[in-house]
Order: sequence, then C-alpha cells, then structure tokens
Amino acid sequence: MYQILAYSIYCSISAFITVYVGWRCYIHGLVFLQHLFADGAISKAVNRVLLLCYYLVNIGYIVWSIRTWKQVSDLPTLLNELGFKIGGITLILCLLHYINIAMLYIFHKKIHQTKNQLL
Amino acid sequence: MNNSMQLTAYYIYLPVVISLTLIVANQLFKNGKIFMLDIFSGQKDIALATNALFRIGFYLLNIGFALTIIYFNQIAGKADMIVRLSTKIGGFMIYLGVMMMLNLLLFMRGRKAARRKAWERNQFVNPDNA
Repeated sequence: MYQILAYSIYCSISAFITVYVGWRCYIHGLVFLQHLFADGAISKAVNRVLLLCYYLVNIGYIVWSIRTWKQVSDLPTLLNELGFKIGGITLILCLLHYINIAMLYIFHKKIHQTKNQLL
Repeated sequence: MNNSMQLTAYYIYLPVVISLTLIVANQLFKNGKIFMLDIFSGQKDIALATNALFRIGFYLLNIGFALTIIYFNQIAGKADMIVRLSTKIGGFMIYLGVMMMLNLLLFMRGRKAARRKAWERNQFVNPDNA
C-alpha cells in the first residue's frame, strides 16, 4: 500500500517541478534563441521542440527511476525516501540548468566571433 | 494469475507507447515544416512531401523499437507491475527525447548547408556583392 502511495506522490511532485521549470525556461529562453537565429519563426519552432525534448527526457527519467526505490513499509521510511529522491531530481535539474546557461554563453561568444570576422 | 498480470501490462504498455510516439511526431513535424521550407528554398510541395516522408520514417523507427523491447518476464504483483511498466515506458521516453533531439540537429544542419549554398550562389552570380 505504502509503496504505491510513494510512487504516486513522487511522480506527481517531481513532474510538477519539471513542468514548472521547463515552462519558465521556455518563456525566458526565447529571447536567447532569437539572438542566436536572428529569425522569429525558426527560433519559435526550435524552442517548442526543445521544450518537448526536455519534458520527454526528464519525465522519462523520473518514471524510469521508480525502479531504484527500496521497499517502503512505514511512514518515516516513506518520507525519508521521498525527500531523498525528490532532492536528487532537483539536483539533476539544477545541473542541467547550469550546463544550459554555459552553452548559451558559448554559442553567444561563437556567433559574435564569426560576425566580427565577417565584418 | 501471472498470465493475466502480464496481459494487463501489455494492454497498458502498447497504447501508452504508440500514442506517445504519435503525439511527439506530430509536434516535431509541425515545427519541422518551417525548416523544410527553408531547406528547399520555399518550394512548398517538395518541402511538405519530404516532411511527410520523414514523419513516416520516425513512426517506423520508434514504434519498431517500442515493439522490440516489449518482452515482459513473470510479474509478481501489482507493485512489481508498476515498477516494470515504468522502467520500460521511462526508458522509451528518454530514447524518444534523444531521437527527437537528433532529428532537430539534422534539420538544423540541413538548413545551414542550404543557406551556405545560397550564399555561394549569390557570390557566383554577382561577385561584387560580398
């Protein structure tokens, strides 16, 4: 009983975090993509596809990682495990986020370099 | 008992996987149209036809992969079934995300090549216009 309860709470909370973070990145990332592509329609298309990719990979990982749960038989174990797992998911998201920012910085620099070479 | 569990697992797994593929492909190729128009420099019929062909390839690849990993071993109970199903569906979702990313990369590369070619042609026709 506790096991299935744990799975459902875990899935719903981590899916909520993923969707919320993805939505924020979708809204604020469009500006960067428009800088990179200098074309409105293409950057919107890329943004939508990237959002869907992000959802698939992250929610896929959340659902997949249900297999790493231990046996849960009482409430304290449930809370312990739940905190540990959701913390892990949040840390992974944070890592991905920082990688994302670094990539944006690198691309931005590269595009400026090529522009300067052309001029 | 176990047999019926296994059947239930199949009944859940197949619709989820197939509808996931359909939704993802729909979204991807709705946004891919604009790339195709850019690659084929606005020739609408060729662009749409290529897009449709790519879509069929995507369906074949992903549904084929989903069907090849369908095998379920003996399932012990309800909790076990959830774990097995989530492992399979989650793995498939990650695979689908990576596939989609590769497709997007392919589109972007094609667009870049087409733009470079157009630029070279422009240079060839009027070399003063750098």
